[in-house]
Amino acid sequence: MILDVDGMRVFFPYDFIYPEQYSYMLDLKRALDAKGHCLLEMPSGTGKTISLLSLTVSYLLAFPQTLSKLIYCSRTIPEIEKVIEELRKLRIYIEKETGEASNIIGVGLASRKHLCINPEVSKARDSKVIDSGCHALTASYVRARAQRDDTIPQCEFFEKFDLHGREFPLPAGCYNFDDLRDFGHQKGWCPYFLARHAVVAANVVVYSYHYLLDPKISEIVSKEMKREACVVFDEAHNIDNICVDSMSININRKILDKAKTAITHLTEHIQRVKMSDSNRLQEEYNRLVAGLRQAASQQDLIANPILPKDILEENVPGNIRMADYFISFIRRLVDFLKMRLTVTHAVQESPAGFLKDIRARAFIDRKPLRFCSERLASIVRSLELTDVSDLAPLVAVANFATLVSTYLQGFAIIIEPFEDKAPNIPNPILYLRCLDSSIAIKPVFTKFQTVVITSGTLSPLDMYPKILDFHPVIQSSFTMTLARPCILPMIVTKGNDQVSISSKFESRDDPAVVRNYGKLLVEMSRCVPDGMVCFFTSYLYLENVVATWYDHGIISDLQRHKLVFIETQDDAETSLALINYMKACDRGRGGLLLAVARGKVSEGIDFDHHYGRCVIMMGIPFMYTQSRILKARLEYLRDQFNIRENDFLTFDAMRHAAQCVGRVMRGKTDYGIMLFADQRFSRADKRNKLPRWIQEYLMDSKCNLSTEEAVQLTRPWLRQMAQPFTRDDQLGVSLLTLEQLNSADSIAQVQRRAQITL
Amino acid sequence: MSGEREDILLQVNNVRYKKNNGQLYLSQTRMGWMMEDSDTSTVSVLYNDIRTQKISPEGKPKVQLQIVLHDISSYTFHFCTPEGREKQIAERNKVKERLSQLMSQNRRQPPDELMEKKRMLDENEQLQQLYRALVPTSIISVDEFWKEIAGQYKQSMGPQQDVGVSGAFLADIKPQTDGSNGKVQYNLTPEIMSSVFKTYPAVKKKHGEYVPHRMTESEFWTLFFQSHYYSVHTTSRTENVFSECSKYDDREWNRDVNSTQSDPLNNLNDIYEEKQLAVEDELRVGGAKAGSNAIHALMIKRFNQHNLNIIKAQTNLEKEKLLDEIAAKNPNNVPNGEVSQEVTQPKTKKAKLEEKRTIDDLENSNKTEVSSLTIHQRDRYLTGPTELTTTQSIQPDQIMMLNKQLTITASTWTPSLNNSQEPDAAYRSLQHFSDMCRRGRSTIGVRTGDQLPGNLHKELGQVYSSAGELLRHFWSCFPPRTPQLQEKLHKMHETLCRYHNVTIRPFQIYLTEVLMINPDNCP
Repeated sequence: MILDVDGMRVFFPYDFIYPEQYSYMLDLKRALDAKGHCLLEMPSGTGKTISLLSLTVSYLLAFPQTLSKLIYCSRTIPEIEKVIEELRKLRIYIEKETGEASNIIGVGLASRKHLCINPEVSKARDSKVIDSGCHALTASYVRARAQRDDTIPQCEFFEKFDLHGREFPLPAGCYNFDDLRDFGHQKGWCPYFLARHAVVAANVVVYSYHYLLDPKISEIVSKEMKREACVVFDEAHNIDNICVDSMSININRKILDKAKTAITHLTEHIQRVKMSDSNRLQEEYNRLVAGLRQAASQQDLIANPILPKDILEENVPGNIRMADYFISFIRRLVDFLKMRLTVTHAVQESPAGFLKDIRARAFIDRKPLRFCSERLASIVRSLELTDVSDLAPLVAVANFATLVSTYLQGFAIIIEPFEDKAPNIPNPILYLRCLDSSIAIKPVFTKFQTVVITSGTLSPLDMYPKILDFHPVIQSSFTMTLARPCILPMIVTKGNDQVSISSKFESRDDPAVVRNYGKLLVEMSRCVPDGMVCFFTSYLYLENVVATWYDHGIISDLQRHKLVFIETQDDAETSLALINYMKACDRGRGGLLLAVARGKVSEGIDFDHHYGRCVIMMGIPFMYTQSRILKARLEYLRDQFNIRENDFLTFDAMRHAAQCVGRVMRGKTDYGIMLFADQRFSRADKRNKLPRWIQEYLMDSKCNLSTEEAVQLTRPWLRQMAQPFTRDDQLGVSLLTLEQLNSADSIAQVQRRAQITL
Repeated sequence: MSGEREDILLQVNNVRYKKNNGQLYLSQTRMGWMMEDSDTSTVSVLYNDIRTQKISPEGKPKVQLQIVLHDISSYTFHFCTPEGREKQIAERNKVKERLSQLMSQNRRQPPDELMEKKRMLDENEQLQQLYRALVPTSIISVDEFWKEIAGQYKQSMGPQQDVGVSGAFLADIKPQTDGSNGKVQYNLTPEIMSSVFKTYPAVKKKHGEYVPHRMTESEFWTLFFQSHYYSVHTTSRTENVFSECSKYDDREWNRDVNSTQSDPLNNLNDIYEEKQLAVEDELRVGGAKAGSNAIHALMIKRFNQHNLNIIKAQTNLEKEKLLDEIAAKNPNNVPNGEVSQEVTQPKTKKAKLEEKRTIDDLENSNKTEVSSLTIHQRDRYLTGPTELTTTQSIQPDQIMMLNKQLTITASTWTPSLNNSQEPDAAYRSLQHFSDMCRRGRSTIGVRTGDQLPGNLHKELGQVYSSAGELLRHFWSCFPPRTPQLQEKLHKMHETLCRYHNVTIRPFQIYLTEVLMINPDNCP
């Protein structure tokens, strides 16, 4: 249907619309009009993606001057492909309605691993191997050499693309990864470079967070994006951690050793080049004298983690301009780091302290350190190295140097002699941790006119503007209008024997608690049909509990009702368990998946419909509070943003709990139980941090249940949900037709219904 | 004690129960024990309730027999004839043998089979009617009915689902301790064994190799219970019989783990975009599982593997069936192996994405059901009827002419009703017709079926269908080439005669009575 949203024609490729979708569009439209940032929370499974796409694409069509591009960032590859498919549907609908060919171009972008079609290179499954395989065939100097020498292999797809593809605009349409590969095969062009090229011209770009947030990658991919763009971070509840991670570097002894070898290789190369072609190094030297801006104009092989404008204008300091000097400089740096790693107790210091130390002990100044990564990139270019993956450790060291010398605020250096979990194995690691999540995302906020941060679970909303340091023009949370109570959130605080259950450290290994958790699971698995997912707070706890359950015979009780699959620390094994869990659900045997909150399953997999009728949170998934990294970050948050440690910890735990639990819902025809099994969940400070759409259904009567009472509530509810559910039941309440949106009155009513007031 | 008197099949005196002397007797349906000088039996157990009987070992001073019931309660009888030990043992053995005979005689049919039959009758109304018509009237015996007639229904109902393996089949083997001498006893049933074989093909292979050439059945299973299959904690791989099995299982496991890469949506390695030039791998210490308990990790892996195998056991059966079906359909064609999965992958992936993407309730799904046209012989459909040559002989102008003539005739035609028929003849025929109508209302010219009262109609239908079923069986015997067919033919003939006597004749009489006595019954 064609909607009228605040005076704008919006193409919406469905015949019906949810009230919250309409309100979401209204708010989004306001943010786009105001050219400001916004923060929107809408429950998962209420068609967030299509509302977003519908409105922004219609906006692109209506006001091409104010908005020229939509950049959609998502977390996982399937998620990205889903967005493109939605866009395809929308595009077809627009063409049908307007009766003319639409010139919308939508492109998904991913790493070479997903896009490479070179038969030799794409054979490898590891993305690093594919990347360096591609570099070896397509780097500019390789190609230059290949022109002189026929025996040097080249990638024909890249060559063809370079010859014809750059001038050729991608025909309008939506391009998934498969489509790009097909198109590449058809034309004989490299899909990866085609996509990277098309990203600049496309109206809608869909890629992963890293392409914008990771400064190293965004410099390569997203540099040419214009200001008149709308950036969307979908599933953004975890965005601060992604920001922090993208600016952090960890170094251990192994990396330093490999960096050492890489340096030796570099030296050999330099010697060889000196013998054969001494001009090349001289040229490089001259370029560096002229300034980095020119040096960087060549192809970017390794990007600088951060490039403040002033660095670009400045000259490279004299003491690292010569290749030999630079090599000895970086060797000294590596040795210094190695020396720092020989500690017997944990050390924490600020970047300033580190710089002072390195100056006193290794005579390295701050200024050359800042140029370290750029200088390394330059030498790699000059030496015409192809195997970049070997250099990765050295690049990490160089990036470390640049970061540590650039930012004196918001970073911390922590050196730990061993891991907390294995205190007997000496494994010193040097962490350079970014503490301030706003550093990485700041360029995005300043560069683009509208940034939309959206997810199913963003509560409490006021936390995000604080930790990301931005001012949203709109911030709102939508509920899920429901014609029937299709979510059943419950808080179970005690077992049948009235022993309170909790995953807090003092009591979690108590046999009574473990037994009660097991009993709860058995009871639920007895009455819940099909799939059930159970999340534990940590992997170690999962292991211990499962072992105890086996000894107590609880596992065999569970197996009587469902097939049990357990997440492991190995990704491939977990994938297998997951696939078989789904198979068990498909076959009607019923499955039970034991997984870990914050694990890969909890973040990327949806348990819709019969794949998840019930999710149980065993305990509150707090972060490991003894970690020094976390402590440093908490301290920083307290000092800089006035956020109390406890608030942040609870906020983080609750968003992960909500995330785990929210996996169960997808659409209003779906239904699921959300069971929080910890006595602490019933406290107001925890409960209030759940997303509002869950809180709404979490009455006081369901907040302090025993196992038996929970089962009592579950049975009639399941029976009710299993009744046939038709459109007529929903229409007017949680589903609207075009007619129902016609008058101003009804629109106001719709908005009232979709906005929650608690 | 019981209302009706029973024949005592075996009676033994001098049997002690709870230190009281008495006599033990076996009847047709129960066993009992009566105290001396009393005429009521203190112990009375139906054979159906008995799970098993046990006897005391040879060397023991007391000669005893124990009866264990399904609810685990038990009775112990002590044989103490004063005539000596030999006699005691002889008596005990006599009781034991007779008891086991009687128990097997009295053993009920497994209830699930009965339930199955009942379910089938409930689901098929027609079958139920047939059953009512044929079995209680003893036209066919019950067994014959299930064998002959229901068998065909079963086939027509489509392929049957196989029963999978229960998730807890290993947990259901409850070991029992012997009490005093620390022996642990495992009770294995054939179902459990087949579950084990289905779930672990490697164990089945081993079983085939070892039993009975190299060890006995019980030795094999003892080893099995000591192995890691049963007790997940076991980490030692020293047990020689199953170490090969575990190697095989590991291989299978690795293959399965590698196969996950073909699932693009659920492969956790793949769905996250990796950072470029990341050095994360280098940070790991000594393997991925640092920090976790190796024993627990192994245990968890075994759980996963166990459940995976249970699912696989089911799939394997289905796959075999499918292959058999394919082979049966085209015996000449060699099944062209595994279709390479790479080719089909993008499509299924797209379908999966589509499925994930769509929100059903937003779409208007008022699609009309379109019935598809099934063409059996495509050639015939495409060629169609051949054109008639005569049509070509008429010239176009001729057609025009004819057309014109027809138009003229039609426009000028005036109906002259007076001349159409003789009034007398018309009157006569009308009279005749109404007369016929009056008569025909009760007998002919009207379809009786429509006018029968409801129950009669239904009954007639039942008689018709059961007669038809029997006749079908009768005719299916022709030509009677084999002796079995001849025998069946005779039997069917007898059955038909009986059916005629028992059902059709009375029905016929009944019908004529009803219709004669009460002809106005029909509306």
